[in-house]
Amino acid sequence: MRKYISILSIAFFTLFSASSYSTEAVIDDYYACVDVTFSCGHQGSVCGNSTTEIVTWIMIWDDEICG
Amino acid sequence: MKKILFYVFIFLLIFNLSAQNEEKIDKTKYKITYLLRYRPDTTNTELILKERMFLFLGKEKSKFISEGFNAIDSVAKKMERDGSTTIDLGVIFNKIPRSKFKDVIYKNHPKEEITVTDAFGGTYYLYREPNQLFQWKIDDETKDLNGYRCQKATTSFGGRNYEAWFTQDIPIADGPYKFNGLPGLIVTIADDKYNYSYGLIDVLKSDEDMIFNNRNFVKTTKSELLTYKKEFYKNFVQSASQRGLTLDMDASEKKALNRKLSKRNNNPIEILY
Repeated sequence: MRKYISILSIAFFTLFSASSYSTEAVIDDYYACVDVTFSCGHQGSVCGNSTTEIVTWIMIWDDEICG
Repeated sequence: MKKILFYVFIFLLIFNLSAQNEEKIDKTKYKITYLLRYRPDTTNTELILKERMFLFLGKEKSKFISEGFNAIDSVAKKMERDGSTTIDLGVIFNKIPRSKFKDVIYKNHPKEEITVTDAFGGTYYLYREPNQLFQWKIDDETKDLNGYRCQKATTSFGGRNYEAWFTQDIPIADGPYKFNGLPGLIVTIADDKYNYSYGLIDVLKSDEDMIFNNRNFVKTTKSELLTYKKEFYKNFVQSASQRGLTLDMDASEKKALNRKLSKRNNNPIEILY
């Protein structure tokens, strides 16, 4: 049973990650927003569709605000 | 039951792999580094900033990207791979250079097409244009630059007049930014007011894969994109809050940030489009 749960989790994770890479731009379809303290001390909240995207935007916004 | 789950997993895995957002578009043969010197602010022409830019040259395609944005991309991908959940921006930006340039220029020589991607305000944009943007006038004048025999050429582009020095020692019709179409690699190019100048630092052999990051792009035109960008930086804080970034700042801090960013973005390389 544990094995099934593990396979199912991988399958759901796979499905979830696949769905987050749509080819059409759906700007409001964020799956996560995170609170950030930028390198110059300002605080904010940044959203995105995947870890790579959120991290990229955090760094881009930090560049804009603190650079 | 076990078999069904196995097939479901394999199907989803294949589906996921086909939906990956990285596309290998060519094999890099040379990694060329340029130093960009530019004046970001027309109201303070004394201010000159510098950035290193990379031109990855492949057999049929090339990719031009700032060192800083290239590094941001690598850090983000590494975090996803490692499953990291925290990021210390102070530490990151001590290690990687900051960049004002988030645009990436892909030249497809056989298709005679340029693809430009840009990232601002929480959105990725993409537009395409033909690569034959330049009417070059090639001069007989020659000189040695960086150990290469170079020849002079001039052109006008985006509302600025440029003088370029190219070398037939490297017979590749490419160069920094969108510049291309000369019978050799561009070694230096600058506009006549020295608002933007690119100078070759080095040419290194490479065998890295050339990657196109297939993000959720909003497809647009150059003129629309440059208009959006201008409007966005006119009132950064308000525009950013409409695009998903909320900032914990008081009114005077917001005003100061708006002023700083509108000044930093008032002298783009293409002023006529």
